[in-house]
Amino acid sequence: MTVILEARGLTRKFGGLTAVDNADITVDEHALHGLIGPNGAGKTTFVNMITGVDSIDGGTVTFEGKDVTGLRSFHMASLGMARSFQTSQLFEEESVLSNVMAGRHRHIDYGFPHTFFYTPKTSRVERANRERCMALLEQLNLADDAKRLVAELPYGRRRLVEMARAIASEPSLLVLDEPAAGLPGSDVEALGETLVSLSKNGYTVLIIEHNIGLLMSICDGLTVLSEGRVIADGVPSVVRADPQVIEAYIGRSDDA
Amino acid sequence: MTDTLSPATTGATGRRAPSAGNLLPIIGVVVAAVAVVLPILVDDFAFNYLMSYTVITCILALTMHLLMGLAGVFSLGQAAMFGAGAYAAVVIIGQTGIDGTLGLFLVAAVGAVIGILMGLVTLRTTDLYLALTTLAFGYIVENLVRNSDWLGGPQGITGFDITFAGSYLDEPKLLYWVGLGFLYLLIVIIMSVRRSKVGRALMATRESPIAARSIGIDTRRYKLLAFGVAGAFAAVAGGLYTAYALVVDPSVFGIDLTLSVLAIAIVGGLRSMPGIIVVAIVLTYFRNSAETFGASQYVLLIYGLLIVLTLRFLPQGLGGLLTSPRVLAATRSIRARFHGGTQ
Ligand SMILES: Nc1ncnc2c1ncn2[C@@H]1O[C@H](COP(=O)(O)OP(=O)(O)OP(=O)(O)O)[C@@H](O)[C@H]1O
Ligand SMILES: [Mg+2]
Repeated sequence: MTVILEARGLTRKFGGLTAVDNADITVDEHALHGLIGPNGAGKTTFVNMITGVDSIDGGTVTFEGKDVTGLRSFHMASLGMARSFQTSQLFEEESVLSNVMAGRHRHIDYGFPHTFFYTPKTSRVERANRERCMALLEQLNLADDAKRLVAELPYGRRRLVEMARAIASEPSLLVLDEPAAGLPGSDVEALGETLVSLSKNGYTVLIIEHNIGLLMSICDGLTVLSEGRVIADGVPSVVRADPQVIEAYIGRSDDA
Repeated sequence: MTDTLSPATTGATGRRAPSAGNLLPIIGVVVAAVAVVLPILVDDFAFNYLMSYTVITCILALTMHLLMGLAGVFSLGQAAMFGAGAYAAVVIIGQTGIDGTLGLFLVAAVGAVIGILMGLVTLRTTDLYLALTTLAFGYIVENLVRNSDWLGGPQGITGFDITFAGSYLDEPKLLYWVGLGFLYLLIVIIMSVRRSKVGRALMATRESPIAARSIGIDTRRYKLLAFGVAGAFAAVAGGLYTAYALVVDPSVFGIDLTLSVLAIAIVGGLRSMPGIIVVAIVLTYFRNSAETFGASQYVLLIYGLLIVLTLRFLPQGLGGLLTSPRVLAATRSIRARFHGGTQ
């Protein structure tokens, strides 16, 4: 199997606190890879470093065989690494479709003069991309909301829009930070199905979740972070039985 | 890339709900055509003179629409771009003698450079700091000019000729048409940009820079692009202004100008091109009348009042009314009445 993402010795310090300490992760192509750990373990910080959102104090990131350590977020995204955020980052005053269309940015290949003067080419490319986005919204059961403003949508739908926007960019690695948080049980199930179908369609997904049940059932690989360090890594059945993992979760009933 | 699914016929590309938006393009084209022949219909020197000034104001106000409304950059540097354009036009066209057909594009280039510089300096700042820094730009350029003898110092420059295609541009009708040409160019660019990938990139940059970057949008690049285009057109407005005023002095960098354009943009609605154009016309006319009645000292006071009232009661400006659900419902019901009430 080819490795698509490899992070080695990633470290991030906030003042005296080492939020992520010499952490490694390896994600295989087409895999659904979970990243778990108690609150404050450093999962978001870890992923922020990988996706170029946060700066790196130490370590390297290799993506599709290229050293991408320290590249800025937009650069990472243009290389094919898309993500959602733990706290929604949506274009609130815009329609669902417009949010998702923005996700296609890196695939819309016309330049000047087609950007400054709406030419037949602009029109053609825009229409084709709009249709692709509508098809995606259809698949995610969001088509009926295409024209609604994101700000008007209920919480669960908003989470889905953010995921749709990331998927619209057809990333070779999709990074999701707690997409199931705050969703009712039925939606979590639907989310799981969506993730599995993404993976079947050749997507690679790195997902942070507190819902361990969900991850255990769908993931090909798991990495466990605790207090900034990787304490376990491997297939779910092995990770689940790891005494260190059990230890890390004892007394943190809110996470299990 | 192949589309496996059948083309979407519902939603975005399908039937559209009736809205005021459908009527606007038709109204726009008619108004645009009337605007072209207006100076022939009303062949009055004073009227045409005022019209040429109105067009210059519209260009400047739309650069604010581009920067603040679309890119979300709260820049108060319009006077620096406008003033630089004014002096550039006098030097390039008036003194060097390059005809306006080429000269005005050189002026635009100067403005674009100033705009991009302003953008580079303020890339890392937002909101208040950005507003203050861009405002300071105007003062810096003003000071440089005031202390440059070859630019006339505090007295400025008079006695230059701005030409366009061999004719003197101080002829109000010609000035109006040239200005209208640039205004239409800017309108076409803004409308195209809004419907293209650049418009979405600007929207994303404005609404959530973090999210924008997460989908591959280089937010800095698009901010600089907005600054560059705004700078180019603001400078052209400044260049045209010299043909209108026949004198250029450091007052072109004044806060007065920035404030009046800000008032127009806010009252018209930062996001609304038609709103801004209508308000630019109305307020220019108002200002002119106030000057005729010797009440010009109250103009800025009233502008300030209008800004406050708009922000309090109509945060989206007058243009926001066009898209507000209540007005949309009203236009629908009016149209339904005209069309036999089927809607
Ligand atoms: N910008 C920051 N400045 C200072 N400290 C930070 C910053 N970001 C995160 N931290 C700290 O780093 C640690 C790891 O935070 P992080 O958000 O990465 O954890 P997490 O595993 O994602 O937690 P959660 O499950 O609650 O989302 C926490 O102690 C947090 O308080
Ligand atoms: Mg987190």
